[in-house]
Amino acid sequence: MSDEYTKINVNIGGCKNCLSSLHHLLEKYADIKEYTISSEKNLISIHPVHVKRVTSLLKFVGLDMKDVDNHLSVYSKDSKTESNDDIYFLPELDDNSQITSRRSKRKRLDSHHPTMKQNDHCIIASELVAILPHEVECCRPHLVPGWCVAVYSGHHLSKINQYLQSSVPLPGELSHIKRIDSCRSYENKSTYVFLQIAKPSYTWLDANETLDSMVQLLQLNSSDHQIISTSPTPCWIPLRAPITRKHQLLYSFSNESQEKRFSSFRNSLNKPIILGWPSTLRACPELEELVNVGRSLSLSCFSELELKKHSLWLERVSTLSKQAQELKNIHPQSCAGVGGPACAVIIVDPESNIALTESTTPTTTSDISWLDHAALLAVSAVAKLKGNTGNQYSDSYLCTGFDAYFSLEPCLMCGMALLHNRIRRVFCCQKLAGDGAFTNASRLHVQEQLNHRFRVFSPP
Amino acid sequence: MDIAFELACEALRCNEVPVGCAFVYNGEVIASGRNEVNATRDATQHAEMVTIRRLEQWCRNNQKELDKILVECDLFVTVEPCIMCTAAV
Repeated sequence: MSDEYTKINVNIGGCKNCLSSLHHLLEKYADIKEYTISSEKNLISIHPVHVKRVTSLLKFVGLDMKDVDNHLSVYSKDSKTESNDDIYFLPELDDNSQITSRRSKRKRLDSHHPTMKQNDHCIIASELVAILPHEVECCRPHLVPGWCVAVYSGHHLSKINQYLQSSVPLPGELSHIKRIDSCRSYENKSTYVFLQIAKPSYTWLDANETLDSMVQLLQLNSSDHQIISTSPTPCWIPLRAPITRKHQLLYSFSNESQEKRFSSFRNSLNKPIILGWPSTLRACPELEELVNVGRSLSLSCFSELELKKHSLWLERVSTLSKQAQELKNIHPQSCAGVGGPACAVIIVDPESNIALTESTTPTTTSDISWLDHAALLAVSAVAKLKGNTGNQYSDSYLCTGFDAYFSLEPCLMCGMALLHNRIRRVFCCQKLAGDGAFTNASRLHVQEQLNHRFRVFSPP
Repeated sequence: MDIAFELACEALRCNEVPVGCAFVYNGEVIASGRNEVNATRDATQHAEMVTIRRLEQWCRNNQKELDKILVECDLFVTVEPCIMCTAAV
């Protein structure tokens, strides 16, 4: 019993940034060695003596937790009472306060082969959104604890910055952190300067020592309006660099409603807790355009004329699947499994806006196969079409540069077949919950380990 | 596995990715195949996909049901199947 690990469910939903901030919190801040994290199962296995502390920390950073095993009553007496800095970083009412600016949209469905119904609603292209990596879609700030100090704005800030840069330099993984919090407004013309990440080797005492050395060496004092407090202030900063402008705003907690809600956080010593921190964003205009697909027309990567073209093809593929649905009642080749709706695919050359192939399941051929999903039929048809021209070893058998329109999101087999064929973009009329290749945990189209990536658009 | 390896060597001689595989049912090889991507100019013709289609043919010729045969089959393959072929299997 005492050797059995306690399991804590945490919903990180495939985001690597959530996973790395979780590792940082447990390993580098809390100095816990006896734990494992299974990101596939959204599970932490941890030694029971740490459960109470870890659940408090995880609850504060906003990881949705469920089903904490009933070990707290057994080990609450034996919980380690060694000194740590949680008293600074956790608010007094830690049962009621939680940093979750938005509830996680991603919920995992555990059903196998869901019986899906055909959508009667014919979707138009302006309703589609880009399916992006989990890190881009994650709405959590990925906070980890650190130390900062309150100072007045003025010329002495550059001296403070230089001193801190030489005495407690930031590690390379925190290069996105701006040392001086000059973006947000505090009262009395004050601002905060970041000292260092909180670690077992850099506790409140170490931060206080750094502060004392800085005050003495730079001859700062509070009467000259240079420094406000003579003790370090706890703060939570984002562990990872922001990916989009939305993340930059989220990480700095500069949204007005965010600021009001969290500005009164105090720990049990009645000291303020600073949440979020300004970060440097390496802008990626292409990604910003993708984020705005389906949300802001002027900022999106699609013009109105393009959306009309895509809407016509989506309407066509919906019509095809409805026609195929009426042919037979059994569709063994549906991506949704046995009993799923009929599927239709159109592969289009976007330069000429001409359909290269249209395919549906079921087919009327005699040698029917369980592998004859609509996508496989379509890419094979394109291969035959292009194989008739060109020599044997040309690359022309791939779907390079082509768009594919699907009535239903492809399964893993069809999604990977599209990847092998180097498709350019995929548009789906309907998502396939659980087994789809693009909108679930796998997200084949944005995998770094694979040698091809492409764009996918589907309903939100 | 030797049959799969021979097929992989054959694939290599034909300038294919050298993958071969075989389905075994009751100790008998009932379907086998190798990578045919370049020969058929179809990027989906991996060894496993080719062999599954031949397995379906074998089931039709012998009046067997695929789902009953498949649960009893063992797959021998020279290279770990990719995501597409794993999903197919």
